[in-house]
Amino acid sequence: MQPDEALARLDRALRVTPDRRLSVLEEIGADLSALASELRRSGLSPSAAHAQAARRLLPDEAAITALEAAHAPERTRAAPIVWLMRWERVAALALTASLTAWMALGAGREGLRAANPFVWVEVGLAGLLVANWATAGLKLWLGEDLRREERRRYGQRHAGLIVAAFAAGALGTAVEAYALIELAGATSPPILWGGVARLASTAALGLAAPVLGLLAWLSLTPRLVRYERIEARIRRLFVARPPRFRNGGREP
Amino acid sequence: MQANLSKRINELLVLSVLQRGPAHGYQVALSVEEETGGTFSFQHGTLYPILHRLEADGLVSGVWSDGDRRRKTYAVTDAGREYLDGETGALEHEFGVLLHLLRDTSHAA
Repeated sequence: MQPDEALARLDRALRVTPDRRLSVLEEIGADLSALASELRRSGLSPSAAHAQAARRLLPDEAAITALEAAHAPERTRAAPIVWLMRWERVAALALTASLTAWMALGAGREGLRAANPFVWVEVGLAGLLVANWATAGLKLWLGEDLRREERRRYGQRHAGLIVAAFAAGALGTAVEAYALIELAGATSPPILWGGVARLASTAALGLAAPVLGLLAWLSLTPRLVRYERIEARIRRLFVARPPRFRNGGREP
Repeated sequence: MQANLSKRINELLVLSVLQRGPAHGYQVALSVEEETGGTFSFQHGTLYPILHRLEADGLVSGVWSDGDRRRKTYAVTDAGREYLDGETGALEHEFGVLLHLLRDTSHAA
């Protein structure tokens, strides 16, 4: 296995915070090339020197587990956090269902009967936004590890939910506006004002969910940007090595 | 017991090598193997968790040097020296007891 490839594999396997991952990879990468150079000077062929350096210094599965234990933040070892990390989807669904149920209970039986269906779609989407934000935040702040692919997945999901929430809000508002226009000529002012209030509250909810969802995601961005920068440095480690390490162990 | 003993021996090997002067991780691995005639060696990256744990416990300190490439050098701390002295004495005593028992048993047989 090529040293770059081996380091990249170690990067994928090692579940520690990105800054610690960077320092472990930098240290092992530098030691690998220094040891391989020493072994070459002592008469070994480049490929044999590499193989021997890798055998000594590249952590196997047991060493990776020991490294993770040495670098794990204390709080991530707590049982509830381990459970949440493992059952992230279940936790997200439970959060969404609880939020929707809480809103439904708040609305009461009358409210449920009278509500515009798009409002309930909006409530469900708001719940999913909260769940997506909470699980990403949990991994970022408590687990302190959210890989590039995961960050992208959470980000895309959040963006999709924001667009869907905005669309549901717009459709709900349109339905309420249409109902209000139908009422306009025929009904008394109190009923008309009731319609206006429903229109306003549907529009407010339709705007609040995507805007708050966006703001919530923005609250995660400083850490996301920091992780992105650290991972860019990690990626540079794999491409900035001397050519002999990218050339099957042969001298350039 | 076995895991604990092996952990202690590994820590003492690392500390004793570092007591002679600061070194990079791979140099520690080479020194341990050379100085013990190959009886003890660190393979498959087992050295790094030990070094990092010792560093977290304040028994060694790791310093990054900036050059073409960042490299980490380890040195033993005062607490590490103290730990090495204490643990060496304790291990000496434990092995003494063990060897005494084993010799007695083999003589009796």
